[in-house]
Amino acid sequence: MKPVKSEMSSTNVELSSGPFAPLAMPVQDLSADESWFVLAWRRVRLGRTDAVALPAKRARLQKATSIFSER
Amino acid sequence: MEKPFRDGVGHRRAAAFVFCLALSLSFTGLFYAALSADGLNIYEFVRIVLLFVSTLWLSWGGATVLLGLLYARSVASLDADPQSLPPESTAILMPIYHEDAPEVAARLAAMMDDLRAQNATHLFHWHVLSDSRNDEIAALEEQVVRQLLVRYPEQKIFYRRRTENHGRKAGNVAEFVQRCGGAYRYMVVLDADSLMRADTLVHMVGRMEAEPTLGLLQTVPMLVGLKSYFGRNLMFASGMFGRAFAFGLAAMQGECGPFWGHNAIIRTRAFASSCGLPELDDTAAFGGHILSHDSVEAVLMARAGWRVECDPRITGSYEAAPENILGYAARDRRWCQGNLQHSRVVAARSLKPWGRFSLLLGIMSYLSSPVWAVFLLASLFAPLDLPVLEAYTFQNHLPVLGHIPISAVYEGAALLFGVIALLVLPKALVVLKEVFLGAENTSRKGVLGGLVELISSAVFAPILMAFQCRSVFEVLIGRDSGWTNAHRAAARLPLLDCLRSVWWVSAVGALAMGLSWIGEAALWLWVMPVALPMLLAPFIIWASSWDVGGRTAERLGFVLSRDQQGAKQLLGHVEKYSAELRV
Repeated sequence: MKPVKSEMSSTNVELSSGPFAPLAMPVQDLSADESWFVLAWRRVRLGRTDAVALPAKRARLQKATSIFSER
Repeated sequence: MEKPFRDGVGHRRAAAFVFCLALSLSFTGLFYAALSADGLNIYEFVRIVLLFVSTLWLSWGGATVLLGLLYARSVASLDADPQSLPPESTAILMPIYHEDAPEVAARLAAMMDDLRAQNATHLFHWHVLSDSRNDEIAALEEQVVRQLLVRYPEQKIFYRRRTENHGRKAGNVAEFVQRCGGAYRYMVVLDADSLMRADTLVHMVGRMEAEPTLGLLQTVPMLVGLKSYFGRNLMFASGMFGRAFAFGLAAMQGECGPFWGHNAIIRTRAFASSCGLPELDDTAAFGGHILSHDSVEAVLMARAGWRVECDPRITGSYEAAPENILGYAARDRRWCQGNLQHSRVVAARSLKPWGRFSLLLGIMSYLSSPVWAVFLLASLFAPLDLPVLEAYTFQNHLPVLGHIPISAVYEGAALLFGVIALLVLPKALVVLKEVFLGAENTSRKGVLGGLVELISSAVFAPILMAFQCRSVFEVLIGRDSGWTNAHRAAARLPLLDCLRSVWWVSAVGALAMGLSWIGEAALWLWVMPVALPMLLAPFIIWASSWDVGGRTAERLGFVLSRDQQGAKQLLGHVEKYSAELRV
């Protein structure tokens, strides 16, 4: 189908940016799960300075690694 | 509603995993047997580990294609007409950044014509979302959009230019959703080089309307309109192998399919509520905005309980690609940075396991090149650390296996032929299926095309591997890819530009040949398939950027699939309007 021809000059045409209908877009949480795997991974990456892990789990991980090193 | 991609997905995934593990363990076992016959040194140990990783990756590609071949036949065909359509319009988004404005407008015009011919104009609103920083380019964009408004008074066409292009393309789309999203139940996201047929657009809207839990429906865009040798090679591969590969992906996707950032329809509210991307902490590696936002958006939608589905049965979805290797590598550089960034997302809370796995596959697709490169390097150094042995040969006296004791020749040969079969067999099966069994009655010339594509890809592969290794290295040292447009313009590259851009690839190729000659002369022949294309990289890139006419392409066997041929009318309109809009 051929396009419709118009005599109107394109410079007179007003541009619109679209209907105003806002929608909330909450920022998603991409932080890691506190699983043993993630804790171990952090431990490998950050070493002993891992301050991100939850205190209880961090203590458990430290306990496990110290038992392992003692043996 | 039939559920072709979800029933039995666990079995198909398990089969693919078993296939890959079995193959790569077998290859690694053979390699270990071949190398350990005269004792192992550290280089050989590294090679064994890297071969396991590499063959695992190769097997995954092979498994996907084989699964696609088997699965495509058992999937029910699509209903042509949607049973119901929404009362309100669907937004078609065209995010642009320093693109060729008349070409973009010509593509929009071609799609608008097609919609008009199908009496479906009222179903869609068009939003050109500009992020261009250059005022001259932006003025040209405004001008061509005005021309579209004059040409198509019955269409709703909107143009918006952001004052700040925060978040790049993802930020561009997010700004639209936050400003206008409430007015649209669905949005179709395009790329500047996208083309979609009207019946495809209408079908996608109908699918979304019929399946209320479907959050995102991705089509498989076929490459069309490329003219250079490199482009025609890509186009043939897309038409011949693309759909089989996509069927394989779809067979394993379950409810967590891929999103490739364009040629897809999205439920706007689902996207708004689940895909607000944070900026990654800049203090760690791969920080800042998430560049490959599409894969992350797909796993976030799936995490929120929406289905994300890729349907390879949908035809009439097209795109273009860079016409030469330099443009292709520049685009790949951005994708590399984006995919490696996913290492910061892969452990995110509550993601579906398949979503995590998909992100890992994306990361691996870029790490596989350095893995191969280190494997080859270790192979070059390994003979230096071995006691002097004579090169063992097959009976035809070709120096085929270098420093492998005669007792391990059979293991070495089995490994060699196994890897070659893994590389060639899936492609060969697809060609044979399409040419001799396919419903599309692909011309027999497709067999020749398959051979030419195989050889061309083998020549291009070492050069692309070199670019990917460099990309990974640059990302690891924190060098940003920047934000350039997609280098889509077809142009024959000057030889001097090629020499300037890839002299380092030639140098690496020459070094590899030299090292192999010094280390073990018998290895020299083995290094040639990788080192020679690298040495000749500037000439290969230059020659492959030449335009190849349609007839020559057909003589080479580069036949197009029926779906690609379906783009002929749209492409004709694009060419015509593009010329008109430039006047």
